[in-house]
Amino acid sequence: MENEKKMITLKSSDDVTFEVEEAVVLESQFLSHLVQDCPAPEHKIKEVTGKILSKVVEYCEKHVVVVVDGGDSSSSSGDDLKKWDDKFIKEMDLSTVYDLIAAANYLNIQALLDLMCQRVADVITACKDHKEIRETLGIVSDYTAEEEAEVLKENEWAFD
Amino acid sequence: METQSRMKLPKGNVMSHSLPLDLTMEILKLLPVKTLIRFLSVSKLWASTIRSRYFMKLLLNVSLSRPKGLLFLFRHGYCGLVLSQNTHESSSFTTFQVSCHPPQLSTVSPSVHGLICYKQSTTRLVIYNPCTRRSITLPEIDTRRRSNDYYLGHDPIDNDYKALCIMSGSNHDLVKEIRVLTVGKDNSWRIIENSIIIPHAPFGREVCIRGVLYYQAFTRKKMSDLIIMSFDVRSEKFYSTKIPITLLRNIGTKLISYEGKLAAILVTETNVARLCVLEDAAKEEWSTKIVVLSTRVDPPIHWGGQYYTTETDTGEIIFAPHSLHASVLDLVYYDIKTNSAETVSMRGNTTDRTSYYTLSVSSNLVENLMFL
Repeated sequence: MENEKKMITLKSSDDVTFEVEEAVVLESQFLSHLVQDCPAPEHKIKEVTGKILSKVVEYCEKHVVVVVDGGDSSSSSGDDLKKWDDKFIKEMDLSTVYDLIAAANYLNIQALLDLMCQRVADVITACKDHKEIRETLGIVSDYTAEEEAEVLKENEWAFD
Repeated sequence: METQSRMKLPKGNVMSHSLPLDLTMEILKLLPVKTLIRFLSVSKLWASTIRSRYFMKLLLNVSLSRPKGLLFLFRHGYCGLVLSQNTHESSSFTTFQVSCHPPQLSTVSPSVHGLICYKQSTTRLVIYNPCTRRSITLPEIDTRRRSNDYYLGHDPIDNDYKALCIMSGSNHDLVKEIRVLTVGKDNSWRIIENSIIIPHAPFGREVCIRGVLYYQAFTRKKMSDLIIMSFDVRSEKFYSTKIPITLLRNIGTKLISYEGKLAAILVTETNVARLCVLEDAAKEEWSTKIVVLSTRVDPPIHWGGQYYTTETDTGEIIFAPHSLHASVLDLVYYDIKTNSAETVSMRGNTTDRTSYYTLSVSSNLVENLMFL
């Protein structure tokens, strides 16, 4: 390990700055290309707010540390990481989850995108009917009462 | 499931937030088909998204990358699903009646990506998707009182399913005419040019691997003249391959998919499995593996010595009982790579003690949204 770690500053759309190691930035495909192509000390990310970027940085820092430390890929580090991921998503509200999905997609961080999408998928799976899904995701139905009754009747078996 | 039902998102201001459609699909593709069907009643936008051809293909690709499930067909038009074999123990088993089933549900082809094909009458075929519990009836075919073999194939590029009807003069006679129909697109069966097809008489069950449908055939009326016919589902062209001699050209040989390749397997009564894998299709190179099933496969006594087998792509032979109760399903998994057997019990979706009689079992069930 080199003693001198290269640091990079990321600036959010609302001008919040984060100083991170280069290795952390490399978790993002988008940022690693950006850093390679344009070797400036500071990069502005116009599409992501400070609130969301702090979450992204937190996630990437945790994941990069564990990968480096767990060089022998012991299963306990994998379990620890999973526990950390569970805790990371546990208290997050849906709008933050959505913003993180959009940010992970934009920054091209596949593992974070997968984690967040799976989180929403688990929440949806736990909903027992269409009403609960609507309420949870804030979806407004555009069905008329008759249309809805018809769709429900057609798919009755899926609600048991 | 218990942990999932406890998970609730803290309520945020979700009304003002929405995701672009492509990211919405990234989430939806992780859901089981049954959950997606509940989703159809949420809104028209969600319903049309789930029903789009693009999303269907996306979900199919996710399903294909996961371990496959099991599909049972039972007597009297019943069907049974084990959705994923991910962990042999935690799977559960669902049985239900096939809608609009014929009195005797006899499939004319094994499952292709979860779809099954059965005869409603002598001239009408139905393709049924047990995941969505929907079916479509294919246009009538003029059989001209010939004996027909039907096969179903999938073109992975356009995500099209094609039904193939091979008409012979009589059983085990050479092919007279071949027709094809693209499911959901063609209004009538198209004739495939005869001049390009080598004379053959199909028999046995098919297997469809990466857009190519394989079935066994005689070239003459002799056992020694067995070949494997392959039909490229997209180009609709036929080719033929010789069957490896190590399989002794035995009529009990089954064509299967093994690690994504075409393979032929023969399990003899003396518990010897011969597995031939087509390693190089262009050079017709087969590898042969002969396994003596060392741990004697002992299906439970209450099976009464009657069972069905199905082979998985990962090299397992699954033994399933001939008759079973809907409340529990016992299976024996025999791994031919490690030569070890394991008995697995799965819970049914009902406590009902109704008996079901197996007609067939296939181990290539994937979640599919067709016909929704």
